Amino acid sequence: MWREMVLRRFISVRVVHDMAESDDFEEFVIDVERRLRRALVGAVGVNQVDDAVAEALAYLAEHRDRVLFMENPVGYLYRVAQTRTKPAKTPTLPAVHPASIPDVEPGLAPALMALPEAQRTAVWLAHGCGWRSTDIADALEISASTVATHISRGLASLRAELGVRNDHA
Amino acid sequence: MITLEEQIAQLGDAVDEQLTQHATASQASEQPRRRWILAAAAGLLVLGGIVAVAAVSGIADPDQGSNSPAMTPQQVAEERTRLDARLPSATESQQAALDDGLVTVTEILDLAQEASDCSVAASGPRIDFQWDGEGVTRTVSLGNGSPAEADRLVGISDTCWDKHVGLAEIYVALQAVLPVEDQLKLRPLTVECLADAGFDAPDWPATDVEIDPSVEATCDDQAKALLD
Repeated sequence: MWREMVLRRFISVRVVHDMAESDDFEEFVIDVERRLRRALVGAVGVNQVDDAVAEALAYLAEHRDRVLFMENPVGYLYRVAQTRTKPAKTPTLPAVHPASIPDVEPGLAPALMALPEAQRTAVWLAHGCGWRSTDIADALEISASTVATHISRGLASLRAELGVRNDHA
Repeated sequence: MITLEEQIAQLGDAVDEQLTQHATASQASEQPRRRWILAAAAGLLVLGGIVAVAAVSGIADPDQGSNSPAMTPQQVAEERTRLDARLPSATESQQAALDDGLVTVTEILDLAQEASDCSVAASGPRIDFQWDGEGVTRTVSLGNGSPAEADRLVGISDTCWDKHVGLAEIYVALQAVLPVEDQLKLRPLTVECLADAGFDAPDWPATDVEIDPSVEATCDDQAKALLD
């Protein structure tokens, strides 16, 4: 019986169902969705982010057994979503009331979103989402050194645009 | 004063909060259908199963790579004997599907249809299913009801699936756990069939060639039939 259970654990409908019903899986999906939404909005903009997340979650649903065992599932799904979603011509972040972020330059969001796509996504993932360089490199399919270059140039452009010093606003 | 990087981080947190509120509001207003996509059986999933079975039962063939897991003919026979003992309690359709000892794709899909009919008859959800070349994927739409209602629907569909497909799908899985010698005989037959259908995939099943799932399933069935 135990061998059959192992068989079922991996090959039968029940196992996937069990995963879908388990708290762990639900928490996984909720966490992935939230992290993806935050990450993708910097790439595709607020108007496209729902579609992008939907693409990623659809892929997750179809390939859950593969994705679940990936080292960086969010990064992989980010790439899936990005390749399947056409970004807005002028992507924007959702409007945030300035009072909720009093320490943030009011012009930061539009300046950030006006950066070239590669710089924008790298800066956003690194500092807006807290991703590691290696994870960004993985998600964008570029080298870590290229990620660093994009971030450096993006931050330099932002400092110039916002008129802030190199270290402090 | 905070650094530019810290400002971006704060902006990120604020955006995250906005997006979460937006997503919650959107779900409440649109009430999207919850869909549970339940994938199953055979193919690559079976590979995982075989490896797991082999690992826990000490039947892995050390000479086989991860793409070529193996069970001895005796172990396959033992599993089948155990399953055969349960056959009398299976539905008539499953017994009919298994009377020749082989469950084909067509047969497992027919059984899946019975499961779906059973679910609908019990006021449960329709079960959509397909053979995708790697296994049977079933999808159940749970509507917009409460989690409790969703659990009820899942319970009905599960009960029907187990009743009408449960035993046969284990046979299907076991069929994929072919002894090495049968695997070696099966592959060229399948490859030849695929080639005849216009899919040049000499390394099948470890191939990057995109093969029409229905053709792959047909070739797989044909090859197994020839093997018998």
